[in-house]
Amino acid sequence: MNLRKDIKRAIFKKKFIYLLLCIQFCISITSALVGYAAWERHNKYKIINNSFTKLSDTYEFTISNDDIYNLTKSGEKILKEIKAKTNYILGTYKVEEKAESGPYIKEDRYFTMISISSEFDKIYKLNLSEGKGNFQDGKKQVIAGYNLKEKYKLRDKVKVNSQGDEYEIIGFLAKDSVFIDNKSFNDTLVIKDYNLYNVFGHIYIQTKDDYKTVKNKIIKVTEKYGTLQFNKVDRLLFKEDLQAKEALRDNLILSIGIIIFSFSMFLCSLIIIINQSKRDFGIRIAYGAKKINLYCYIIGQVIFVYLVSMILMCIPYFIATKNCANNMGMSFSDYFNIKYFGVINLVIISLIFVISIPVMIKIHNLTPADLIRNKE
Amino acid sequence: MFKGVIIILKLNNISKVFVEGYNVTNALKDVNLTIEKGEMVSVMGPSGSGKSTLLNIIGLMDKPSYGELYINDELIKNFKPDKLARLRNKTVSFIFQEYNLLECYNVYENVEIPLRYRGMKVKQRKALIEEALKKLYMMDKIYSNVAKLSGGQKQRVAIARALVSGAEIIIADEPTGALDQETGKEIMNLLRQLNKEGKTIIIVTHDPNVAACCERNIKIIDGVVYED
Repeated sequence: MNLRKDIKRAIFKKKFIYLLLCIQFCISITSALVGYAAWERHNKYKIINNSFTKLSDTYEFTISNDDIYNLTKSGEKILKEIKAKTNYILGTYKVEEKAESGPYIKEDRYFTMISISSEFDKIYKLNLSEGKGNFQDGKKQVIAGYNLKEKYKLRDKVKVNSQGDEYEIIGFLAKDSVFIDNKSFNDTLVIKDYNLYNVFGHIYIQTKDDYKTVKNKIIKVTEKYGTLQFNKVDRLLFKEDLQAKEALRDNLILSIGIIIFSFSMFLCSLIIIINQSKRDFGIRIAYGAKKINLYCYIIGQVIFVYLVSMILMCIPYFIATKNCANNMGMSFSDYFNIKYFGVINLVIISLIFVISIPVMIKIHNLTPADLIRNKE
Repeated sequence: MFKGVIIILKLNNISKVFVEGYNVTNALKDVNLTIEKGEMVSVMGPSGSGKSTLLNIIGLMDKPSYGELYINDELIKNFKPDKLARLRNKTVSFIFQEYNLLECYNVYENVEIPLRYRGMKVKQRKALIEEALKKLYMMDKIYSNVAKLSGGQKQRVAIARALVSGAEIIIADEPTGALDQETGKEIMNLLRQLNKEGKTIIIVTHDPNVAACCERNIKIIDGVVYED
């Protein structure tokens, strides 16, 4: 079949409108993809970003633990003071236990725990005396120091905090293993990607004051701590918040796009298939086309238009994705999820096949004379 | 040159019944006909007499309700769809009254249609298409969009499309019906020329002048061959 001509026909004849719809649909696919990924990522990341978000007349003020800990060694103190010195109605404040205080072991002794990142894992090969050093994604696993061999066996579980999180020992380090500052790791638990400062303070402020007023009052209370300067507070508490807001806004726009464009492209696929000229098919059969040629023609044309649309939308799609990823403080590769992309496209192509079936049945049942008589 | 030697088409008691709701129309009633290779035959009759239905059946565009159709001594009823498609592609070719060109394609692509379904290489196709268009004096319009052509030019393209496949039987359904007298004469001359080259030509027409160009005239009235 002459696909080049068919696509030319799709563009320059009445099917131009369908091509536009195809493009819309492709954008919808990618919107869905980006929107979904944004939502998923946002849910993961929002808890570790400082945020300041207006919810009706309620403000939520969140400070992550590492800020509190690094700046004052006592985030709780700051938050209590804010509560005492402002006229806002405050909600609850919770502090979870710091993992760095060490793991709880059977005899209630504490051991030092160190978290390593994925990159560390790749750069330094852990020298083990027993077991395996490969952490499995999503599993709670630790590698224990050499001295811990006396008390634990492989596959034993240790509590890493008072919340009761238990981690399985998958290996023991070699004797006198050294990674950083020549400190021996004989009594240390090595854990991967564990947030050592996973502690959050929350103050819920109910007020009709505007954003600036609330911000100024909080800064006034906190400025005496010296290290919590205005600029620093502004950056820590609000700039990232604005980024999160931008990401949410992008997310919202993309999600609305999903609904509009998905519908329009579904309509497009439908129109492009059912509006195929029966007369053209009749003429083709009259000059020797087999019915299979025509089925391929229908499917080929729609998929071709679909693919061209996909190519056309690649640039805006990648720009949108990159923008969202930047706003979320993530790399493009973290943000883009090929799995969703593949699945959504597969569903669409399957849908096209399903929609084509009635047209194919019609072609199958009619003679060329009937098809040519049909003026569609 | 093949005249009187081989029977290329044979119709045995062909009937065609159209059923639409409670209306039953007998478009053809027990038509028996033989056409020899190289003949130029006209089929005349009033509107609704069944001429076009007969032509559609001969041209493998429609199926008879009853009866048998033989092309080159082969019973068509037994053919599988793929073989039927091959026959339409290589043996029987159709020229329609309203040209039935694909408007979005140019002249070259329209003429190319039968060759496309033959799996022929592009070079070979091009040679055949150019040859056909030269014969019909349409080479200067080879890449013109058919929508911009005059009626006579469109009919020439339709004839070129029928010709390019090298089909032995050319069936024309009122080929001059939509043309002015002068252009109609030109088209008839072309068809006569093709007949002289050995093609079997069957023409449905209302026009006695067109029928006069043919050596055999068949008249159909109410689905029955009235005069042959």
